[in-house]
Amino acid sequence: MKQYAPKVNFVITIIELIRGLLVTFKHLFMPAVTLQYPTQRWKVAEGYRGLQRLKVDEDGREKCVGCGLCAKYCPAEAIKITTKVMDTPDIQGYDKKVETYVIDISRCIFCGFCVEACPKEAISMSKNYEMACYNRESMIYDLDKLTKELEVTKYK
Amino acid sequence: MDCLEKICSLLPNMTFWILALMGIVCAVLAVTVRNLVHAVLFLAGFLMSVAGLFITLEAEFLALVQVLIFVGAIVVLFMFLIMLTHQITDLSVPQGNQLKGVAVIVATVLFGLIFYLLKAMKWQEVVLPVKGDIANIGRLLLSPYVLAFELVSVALLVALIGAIVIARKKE
Amino acid sequence: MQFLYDTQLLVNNIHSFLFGMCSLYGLPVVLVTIVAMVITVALVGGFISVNVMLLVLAERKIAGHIQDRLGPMRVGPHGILQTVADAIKLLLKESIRPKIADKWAYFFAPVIVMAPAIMTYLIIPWSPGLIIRDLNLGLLYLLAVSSLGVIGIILAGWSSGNKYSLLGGLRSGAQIVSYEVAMSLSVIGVIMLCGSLKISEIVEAQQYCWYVVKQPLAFFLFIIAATAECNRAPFDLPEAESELVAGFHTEYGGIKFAMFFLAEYANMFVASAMGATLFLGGWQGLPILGLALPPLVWFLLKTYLIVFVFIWFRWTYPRIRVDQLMSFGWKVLLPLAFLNIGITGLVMVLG
Repeated sequence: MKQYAPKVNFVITIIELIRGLLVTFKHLFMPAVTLQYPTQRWKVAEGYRGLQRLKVDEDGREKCVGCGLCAKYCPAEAIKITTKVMDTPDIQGYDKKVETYVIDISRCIFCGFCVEACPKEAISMSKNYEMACYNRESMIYDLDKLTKELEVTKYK
Repeated sequence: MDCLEKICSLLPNMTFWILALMGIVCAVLAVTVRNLVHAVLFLAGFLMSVAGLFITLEAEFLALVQVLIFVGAIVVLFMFLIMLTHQITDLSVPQGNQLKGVAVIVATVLFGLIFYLLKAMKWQEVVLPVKGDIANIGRLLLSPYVLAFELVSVALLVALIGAIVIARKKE
Repeated sequence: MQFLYDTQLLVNNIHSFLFGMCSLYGLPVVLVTIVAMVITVALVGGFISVNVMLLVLAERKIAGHIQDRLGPMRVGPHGILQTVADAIKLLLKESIRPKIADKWAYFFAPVIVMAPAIMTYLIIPWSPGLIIRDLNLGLLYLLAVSSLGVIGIILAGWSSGNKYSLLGGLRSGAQIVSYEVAMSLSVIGVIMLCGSLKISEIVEAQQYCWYVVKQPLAFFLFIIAATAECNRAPFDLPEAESELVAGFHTEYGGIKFAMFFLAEYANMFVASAMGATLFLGGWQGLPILGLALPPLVWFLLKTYLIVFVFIWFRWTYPRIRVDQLMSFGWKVLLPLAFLNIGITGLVMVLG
């Protein structure tokens, strides 16, 4: 089997090797792109789809009327709503009331379809992306967790 | 503290005995141990003690070259060779053969002969004509002993060419 | 700090002080030698440990910055104590041995690798009087002792009882032996110019002109051969195999692995120190910069410059395949080394 050796130009080899060294040297002085995570956080963009939040209006009541459209549109079936019909209608004349509103964060794909589907603009997506926890049960967010402002631990 | 001084005055003699003992032990273990890799390691130990003996004889260049070439290259080559063999530690491979008795007798007779010869010789104290440093060794190799030098070079060249010819792939 | 400028005087003073103490208290003179040996061993051991910590941290930080990221940042301010944490972790690990591995060979392999790495510290010239032993055959001692480490590596590869470790060890052994030849030949040019193997004479002879100016090819060859000797990139196939398949130190954990690690960085320091001594003038300083640094600082600066060059090479170049490595060592470096010797000889005879 004849060995076939490609023609190598030594001068070009050495020049290219030195050029490689210069590139690495240049990068030594460029600033690092690392973000030291807990002390420095990333500025998210404006339309970022994070954790869902249910809005409350001026009187403190949730805007959600329990129509169930978000649950129907959710591709991952992460939202589950149960409603209750009250005997007396409330101030706005609605008699249907939301009993439980549960989003399973471990199923949610954060696509934002629920926001697009809602007729009352009662749900929106915040910029919160830190939802890690220690067990599966705490990944199920119910109503008061979704309306409350979740605090983020600040590190020194 | 007096005993410390006595110990230190005995040190040159002790160095020779320690190195010689180490050499003998390593050499005996090198030929009797079952595991071939251990045998090569004991060989390396023996060669290092020989290098130590060269140093006690004020031949430092020879000692360092011994370490560099013998231990640093030849023992490495032995290890390459042995590790690419199988059955290094196999207990079924026999350690000796049926000529063991004859071998012991011949070895003892030879040892007795050499011992007698060495004892009967009249050893003289040799005074070196030139100091053994490296400039003088170079000069000696190239003027009075140049024939030996060139013959060794030719022998090495022959060995190199022979090795390449044997190891070449058949085309 | 004035004592750093004249270290020959310092060493003489320490010796005479010890002799004086001995004669004062009636102790034998040999005690001076023993005390000197103990102090030297402690200093060298301490320096090797501190040096390894510095070098590992420097390598990770420089690697990080070359790759546009920060290195270790958590342990200590800006990650200074990272190597301390690594060392503590390695020391606390359990030392296990594979059942099929050869017991004594497995135990002694790290020792055989580590011992020559430390023995080479005998002839490093830190400063005008600060060489542990200024041997007449100093350079030959260095070459002889550094060739002993190969046995340890091959033994480590075999005694792991693992086919891949064996192959890694054999490859590494072949690589080191090949590049040792090239390194020895490239150093011969320096020996020819200086006429002596004594390290302090080689440093003194570079007073007016460093040898890197007179022998640039030899310097270039020495740097390449030294990176191959230390198993560093781009010649680190035996080591990188431990990331890819297996290397010769796969089956080693805990303290034994720490020994291999330490030996590699100690070797790297000695190779750089020798490059600085033989080619860059050792502890001679450059008078043009105007500042008068002690010779020890010049030596350390030059050595760490070459160490930086090694680290720089590692994070710039891709790894060479083992057959390309061997053909490069024998077919390119060796003829160039002979050419260098020929040219040096010619110039010396004619000029």
